[in-house]
Amino acid sequence: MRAFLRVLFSACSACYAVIVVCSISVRAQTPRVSAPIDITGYWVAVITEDWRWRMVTPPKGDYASLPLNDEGRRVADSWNLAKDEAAGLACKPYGIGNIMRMPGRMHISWQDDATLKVEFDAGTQTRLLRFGAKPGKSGAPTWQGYSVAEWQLAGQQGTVDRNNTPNGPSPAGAGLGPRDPARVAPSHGGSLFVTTTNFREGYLRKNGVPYSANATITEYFDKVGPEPNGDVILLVRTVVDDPKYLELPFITSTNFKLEKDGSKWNPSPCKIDAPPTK
Amino acid sequence: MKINVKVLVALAVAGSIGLASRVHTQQPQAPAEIHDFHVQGNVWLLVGAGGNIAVQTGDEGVLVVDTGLAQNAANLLVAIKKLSDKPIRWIINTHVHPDHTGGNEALSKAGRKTNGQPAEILSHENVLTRMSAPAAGRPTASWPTDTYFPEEKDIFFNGEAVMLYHEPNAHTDGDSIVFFRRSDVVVAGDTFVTTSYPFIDQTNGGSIQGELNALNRILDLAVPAHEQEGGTYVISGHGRVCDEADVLEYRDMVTIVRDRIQDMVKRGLTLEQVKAAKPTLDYDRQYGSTTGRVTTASFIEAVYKDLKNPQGKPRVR
Repeated sequence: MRAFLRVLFSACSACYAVIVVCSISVRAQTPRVSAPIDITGYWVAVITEDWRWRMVTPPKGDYASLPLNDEGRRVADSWNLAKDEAAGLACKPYGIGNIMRMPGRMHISWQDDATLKVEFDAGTQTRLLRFGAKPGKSGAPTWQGYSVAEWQLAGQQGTVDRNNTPNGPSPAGAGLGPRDPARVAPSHGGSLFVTTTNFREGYLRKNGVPYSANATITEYFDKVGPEPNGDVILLVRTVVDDPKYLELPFITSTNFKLEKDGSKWNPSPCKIDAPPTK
Repeated sequence: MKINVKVLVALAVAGSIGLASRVHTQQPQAPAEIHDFHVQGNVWLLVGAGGNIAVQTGDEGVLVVDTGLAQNAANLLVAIKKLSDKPIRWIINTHVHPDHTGGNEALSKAGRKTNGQPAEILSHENVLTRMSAPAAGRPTASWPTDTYFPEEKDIFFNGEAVMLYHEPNAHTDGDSIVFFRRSDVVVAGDTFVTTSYPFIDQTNGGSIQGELNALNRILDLAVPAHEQEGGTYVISGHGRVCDEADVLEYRDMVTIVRDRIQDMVKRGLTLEQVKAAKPTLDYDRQYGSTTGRVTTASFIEAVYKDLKNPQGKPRVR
């Protein structure tokens, strides 16, 4: 009996060890654990470009710098704010094609080990970035569509940085050092690559410049810093490919700065202000 | 930045054509169509002759920054004549490459100084050194006739100061950034392009650190207008007209890629390993290419080689 118990105990211990090792292994493979950069937190949009198109509603027909084709211009010229509001379409500028350009704050967190949740206080919008998912066409299109995410390393990840410091779990990206070009950041580049489909038609600008539901929208998220002043920046490069309304891909680079907490988080509903009258 | 979208598309297409024709041998080709675009103040942009060309007009005459490819010189003269019937007095070369200096001889001979001699061709002395080297095979009449060697050079023409800033070891070792102070227009030469990654021409003395210094110089000169748009306009060497924010994004891209490659160099990776690690991955959609004069691979290779044996030095401020 004692011998049997010893064998049973040994077997159970072995099984437990296997289960523990397997669970650690599975956990180690989740997108959350394998993330090359940590982009969670509260981020505020840094609007140092396109201010007059992002902070206020531009006049109808102001589509300067957008590579619209004739159809895109025709639709933009026919924009009618009152009609949008009456039809309950006030969220059209808050869709996937323009949400990153909206002034406001963004809160990124892990919904689970394979899904990043990105919330916006402007328009109270939420995006889900699904790792390991396939592009989704099922279900009704939404303002934010169906986003598939993957980690892509831009530059090879090492075990130590150039200062021979072991890489932590959340290495920052490369540094900019705007007035100190010799300075190099202590870690490596990593990017979050996101492709979004199955979204509703929306506006690239608040003044009715359109993107179509058949557009393809891809994004790269990169983390940069800390800069000499301590700022940590999230760079989001967005490419909108939309042959229906655009002559060329529309590429923007949007900057966000990390905030220490969510104390300035201020959700507001979708709302389009009337453009200034001349 | 505020720019008519039709012009933007036309410039982008013309810029691509210009880049595609960016050959460094004098191959005879059909003359290209040249388009003009008023930037601001007294300064115009001419697109299609090779690299971008800036033209300043006024009562005293015409000043031309860069002269395109040689085979486009006749069309270029017609395009300049549309902007002003005054004589060409000054030609400035931003650097040595034939797509920016090929029309020197024709434009100089078509113009004249006040003493009746051909128009002056002004550049940094390194441009003359390289153009006059026997191996370059450039005709004597296309060489710069006036050079400078300090960090800065200035002239006053058509009622405004025209500042030249030498950027050592940037795109080449003879780059000049030209600033029209009253018109508020910067001509970047090939230190800044919108159509590709930077071309670090190491055989002509270019370096990644010098390239960053040059981009930072442009940022120092440029001041955005109300709401961060417009203000100082920057004429790129190839591609569209930009404002400070555009240059800022480009400078950030170059810095980030430089940092990534620097990190890998420090860890002892080979060039092939660095290329395989795709340090430009997230920018390739915008600037990457597998064909033409500046490919993604050639850019990575240039940065890698330069970081292994640095040529440029950070500017001390």
